[in-house]
Amino acid sequence: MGKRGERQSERTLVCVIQALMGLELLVELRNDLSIRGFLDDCDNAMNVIIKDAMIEDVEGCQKHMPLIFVRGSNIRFVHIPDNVNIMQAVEERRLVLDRAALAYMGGKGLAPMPKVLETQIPDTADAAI
Amino acid sequence: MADAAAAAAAASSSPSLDFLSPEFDALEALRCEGLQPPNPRVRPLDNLNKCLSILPQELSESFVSVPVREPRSQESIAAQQRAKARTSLQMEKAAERARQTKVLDAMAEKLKDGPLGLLVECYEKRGRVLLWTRHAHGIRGTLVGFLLAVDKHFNMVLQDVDEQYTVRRQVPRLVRKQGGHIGSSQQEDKEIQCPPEANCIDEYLGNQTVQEECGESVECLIRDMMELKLFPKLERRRRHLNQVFVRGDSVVMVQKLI
Repeated sequence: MGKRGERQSERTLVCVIQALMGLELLVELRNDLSIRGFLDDCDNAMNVIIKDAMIEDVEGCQKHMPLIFVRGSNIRFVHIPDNVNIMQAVEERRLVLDRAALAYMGGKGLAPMPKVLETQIPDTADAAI
Repeated sequence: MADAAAAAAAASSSPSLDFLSPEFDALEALRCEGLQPPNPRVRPLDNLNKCLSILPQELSESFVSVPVREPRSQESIAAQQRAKARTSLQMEKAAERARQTKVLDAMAEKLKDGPLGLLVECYEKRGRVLLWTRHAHGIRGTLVGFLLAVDKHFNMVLQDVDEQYTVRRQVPRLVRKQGGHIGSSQQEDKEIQCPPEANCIDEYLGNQTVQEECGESVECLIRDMMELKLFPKLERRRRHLNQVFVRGDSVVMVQKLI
């Protein structure tokens, strides 16, 4: 629902993954496949798009793929880079989204748009920034 | 003056330029320079309200009436401005307040009273937990680490993790063929025991040392009787990870460690 808890992503730990966008991660799937690459996008269902990926299976066979989409339910682990502080990353991302949303509304902070659009606003506003 | 005189003359001469005649042609009048309407100070009729006054009296009120908006009073305008200012300030204050409670802390707060309360306790103390994970067919293994974040789906972020887990692999082994063919019964007593590293029987036989050891006849024996088959094997592995995000649906059980 709209106002309570603001963003849907901030009610679960998906926001942690979303805060890691653009970084190089290792994603381990439920079928023991591991994908190392740059996190291009992540949505609220944890579906991810990985760019420039190197896929390795249990036997050790490696394969390179330029762009891969993984359904969120198939993920088991996401290895976070060592130098990232997740608390900070999540707060920073939240700041960016808040500022973007405010700028979109012309800084007047009137009645916000209906929930369906609200999730789309930060993306377009981010692009504008 | 000359223009006005000329215009007046023109008006009297042609009915199309005469404002009050039925043959008045507006386009021609616009083209004609210096032509002035009878009363140049009349204001144009921009909207319906202005036309109201010149319509004939016998038309019914419902046909004629156009909803007239009363101009807003100064007080109402001022009140609206104040309301706007209040909401924008509120929005900013709310954003400020929301930012003060960290996202991850707030998430854990909500779970405090429920069954995940023990987990929240571990999170607040940054304690060590033992996590049991699963794959589709059973227990996968355990993770031991410090709890950095929790949520209602049991998604967790762990730090300084030791993972002990099992992995299902397909291991190739040399095994007697099913239902051998004619002529192989005499050679049954000769069996090759060593598990090959090759992926197919030709590779195995192509191996130099094997050829030297076995010789021609044995090679034929192998080809007739044996085949490389893949057997599932549960391999134990262990590793250390600095920071992991564990998705909740792989979690079986969480044990609090002292």
